[in-house]
Amino acid sequence: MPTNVQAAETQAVGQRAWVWPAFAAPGLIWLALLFLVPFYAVIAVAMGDLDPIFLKPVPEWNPLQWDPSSFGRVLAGIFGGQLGRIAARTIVYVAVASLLCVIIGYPVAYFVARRVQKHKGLWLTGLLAPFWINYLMRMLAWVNLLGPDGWVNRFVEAIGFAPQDWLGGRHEVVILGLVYGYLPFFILPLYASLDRMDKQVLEAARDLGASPVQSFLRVTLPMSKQGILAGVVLIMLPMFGDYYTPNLLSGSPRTRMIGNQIDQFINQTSSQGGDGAALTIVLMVAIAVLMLYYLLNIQKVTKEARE
Amino acid sequence: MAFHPRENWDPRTRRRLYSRREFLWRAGAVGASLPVMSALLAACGDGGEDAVAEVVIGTPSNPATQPLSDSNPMIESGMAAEAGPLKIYNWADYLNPDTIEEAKAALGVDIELTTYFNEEEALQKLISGEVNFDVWFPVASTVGKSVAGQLIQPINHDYIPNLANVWPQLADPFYDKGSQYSVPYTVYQTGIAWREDMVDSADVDIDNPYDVFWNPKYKGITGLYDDFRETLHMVMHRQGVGNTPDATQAQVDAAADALLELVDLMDIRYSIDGAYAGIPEGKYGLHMSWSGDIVAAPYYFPEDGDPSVTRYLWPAHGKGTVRANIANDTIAVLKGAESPVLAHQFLNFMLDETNAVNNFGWVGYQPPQNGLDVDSLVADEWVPEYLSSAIVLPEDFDNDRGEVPIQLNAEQEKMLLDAWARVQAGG
Amino acid sequence: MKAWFANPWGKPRWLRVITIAYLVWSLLPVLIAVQFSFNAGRSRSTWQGFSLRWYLDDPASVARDDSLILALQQSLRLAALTMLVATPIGVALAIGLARWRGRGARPAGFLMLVPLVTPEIVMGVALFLVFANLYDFVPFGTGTQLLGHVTFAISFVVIIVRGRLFAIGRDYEEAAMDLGASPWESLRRVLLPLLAPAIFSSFAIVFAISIDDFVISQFLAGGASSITIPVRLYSGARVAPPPSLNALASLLLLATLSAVTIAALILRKFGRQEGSGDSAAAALTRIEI
Repeated sequence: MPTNVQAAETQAVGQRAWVWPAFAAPGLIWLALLFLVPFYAVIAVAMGDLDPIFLKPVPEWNPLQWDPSSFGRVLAGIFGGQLGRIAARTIVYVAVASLLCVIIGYPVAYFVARRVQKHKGLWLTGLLAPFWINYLMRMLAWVNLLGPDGWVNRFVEAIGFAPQDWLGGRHEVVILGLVYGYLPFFILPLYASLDRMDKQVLEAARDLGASPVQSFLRVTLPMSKQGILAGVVLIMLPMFGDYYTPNLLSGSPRTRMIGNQIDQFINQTSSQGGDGAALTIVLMVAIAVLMLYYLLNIQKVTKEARE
Repeated sequence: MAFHPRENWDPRTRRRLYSRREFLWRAGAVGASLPVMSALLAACGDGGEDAVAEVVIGTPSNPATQPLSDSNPMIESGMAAEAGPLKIYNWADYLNPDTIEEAKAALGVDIELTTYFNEEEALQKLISGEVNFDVWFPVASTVGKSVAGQLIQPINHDYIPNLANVWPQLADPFYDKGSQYSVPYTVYQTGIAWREDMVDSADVDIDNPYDVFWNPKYKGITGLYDDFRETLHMVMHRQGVGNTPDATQAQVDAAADALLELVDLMDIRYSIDGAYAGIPEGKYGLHMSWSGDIVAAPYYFPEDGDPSVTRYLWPAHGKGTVRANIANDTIAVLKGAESPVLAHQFLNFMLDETNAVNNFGWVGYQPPQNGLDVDSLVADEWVPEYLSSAIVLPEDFDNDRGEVPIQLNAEQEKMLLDAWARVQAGG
Repeated sequence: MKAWFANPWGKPRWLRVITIAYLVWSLLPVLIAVQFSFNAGRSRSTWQGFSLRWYLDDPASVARDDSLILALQQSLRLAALTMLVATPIGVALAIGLARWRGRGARPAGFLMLVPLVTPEIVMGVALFLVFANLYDFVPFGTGTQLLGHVTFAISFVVIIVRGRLFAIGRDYEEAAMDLGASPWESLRRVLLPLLAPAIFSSFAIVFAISIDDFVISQFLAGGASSITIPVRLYSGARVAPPPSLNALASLLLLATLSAVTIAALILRKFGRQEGSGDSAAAALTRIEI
């Protein structure tokens, strides 16, 4: 019998040497052509020139002739120019919104993962629902509520205050929009990690005389650190590239984020396309640490699942 | 936003869906810019045997004749029309669908309309050769570069007798003397729109009407266009500099600084739809406005609203001495047209007064037709009386206080864009 | 009450209160928006009675405003095409990556994951620039949007299918090969049937993420004919939108939720077969990355 298995394995391995990469090939070629090459195009545009007639960026594909002046402009703008202000604002928005997501999201995820006994599916459906409701629709819902004649102003008036121009460029409205938009994306992975947590460890802690508070602080919280971090990174990445939330909930230059600036460079004033490409790369580099952290985390989880 | 019917469209109600100035570029549909300049690159790479043509930029004081080239001939006179279909490339919602139907009947061919949301996108597609159309609608300041880039072909005037209907000021325009490559389509001014129930008209009707945008009485209800040229020009008009391409860095910086003041002084917002949609909604009481936008505004008022509170002023018609922008769009025949004769016939069709005014009713932007004046447009209810100030007059183009934006060269455009980026970064 | 203060952790009432408050906060605005799509009047904040006006009758309703119908059609068409293209490629990639032990496997696995963590605006800019400058034989419009959607959807398929691959292990396949099946046969006769639930739920999930996408659709749109519902919502939300926009959003919601429900039901069905007895919702949480 052993020899049989070995023979089969050897034969299969002989085949697998090319079979499995061949399976992966279409997807990998696709990603190479439509994911890696596009990034090269971004660099080529950032390093390129303007055409003289239509003032459009012309990419420079040859690295030997790259002209890094758009990077110079973008970096000068970030360190000491108007872009720096936008970058700082973006960082503050993302940081405050992420913190609020943790404060609101953790109890919710904890409750549904650990404290719900009955109708768990129903609670979970509630957590999942916003995840699958279109982001733009959820923002549209708030535009309705925060409008001059919306429910929020009616409530404010009913309790005796003056109605406010909520959509007129308020930091707190944009941050709340970000929290509202991205919170479901934080709660879900956190829920999954809290749900996976080994209940025996907790029971052991309790058996050893830890109070519920102690067992939460000493066991659950440290064990969920990973889930919190992963969730925070998962929402920070799209927040750093967001432009639609401030656009829909404000429209004032006071609330512009880096994403708005990229959107403007690329889509509205195409003679600045080179700067837009350079800013995109700078953004990528700036958040590369977050991306890498998350990637390694997924790989670790995958490896565990594999074993 | 699109709550006006296209079906059963009644020309008397002049209903329309969007302003063509709602460049959804910010708001949607962004699409493309950044063309492939493969032709140009090839030209440069070949050691310049086919050197890149110079862009000829005309100014009102120094009108330009766009160069003719052997490699871009005009069609012969007296040719028979092609079988079609005629392929038109235009801004979204910038042609009345009924007018297209009428053109189909008049020309006896099918018409295919393809639309775009901003000119960058259109240019990109035309340059790359991704698309193949017969007729295109460039703005006046794009004509020069379109000739240099050989996107459009010279027009044979024998096919276009209706050019005689066009205001003399635009039949021989400074950007394309002799209308060699383009015919005018619509005209518009850049002015100030407000609601009389929210803004005191006396605060606008002052020596420098632009100052009203800096009047803190109207904090929170004031908006400006999200358009770097128009809005920076507006401030430069306010500061007496004008839209001149010779503006210095210091003058442009001063304009940007003035706009930055507005962030806290006025809670200023930038929009592209504030004039025709935001004012009716009451979101804005005061907004920069193209004349064509505010003409459309009454149809965006809510059912229980009163559109007659809308007011418009072109500052060049105001009390003082400040200047203001006035501009026009054009129609041109593309160089690669497969049906150039049909395209010429279509240009002629659009310059017919009846067709032009029917199209205006839907589009909201006014054609420069000799037969139309304020009295007839108001009497025939194309424009309500209270907005008659938004009707563009031929003499506005001769007005010393009216300034036509001209094509910027790379450094000028860069200067404005850098200033705009600073403005958009906010306070 | 006393017991609660003494031991808030025993009966976590405040946790329940926070969770309920969160659910109300997160869902109520959307429910209100859906409600107002049925408003008889033009207002989005004053209820004037129930009507289907904004779906059917009004000249600006979804059924009668061409721009809204076009957006609906474009969204459905794009999601369906993305689903059909991305799923087979993703399934093959998942199988390939799970079985391939060679030198290239690690970087390949890494490449597959990067799209998941790339902010959409970065991917949008990159795809936009490459189509504008290099792949300019593909005109902006449905074609570019499809290529873009498939690019980000592939990784989702891989994640979904991979979970299932790990769960079923290699025993069945090897048993089949012991019984004399060729690797190809064992794949076709054993592995693919076992993967069927994951493949079907991939179809549904890809449909849902494609129809929900905004940034890539916006960056890669061509003209008026390639506007999708989210792009239309974005352009409309800034201008006093009539309730027909709410109606359009509600239809989008219906399409997405149907797709997700189908995916959840499939996942639950095979979850039951495995004996894990998950609810449909719990099954869904497993596929989120």
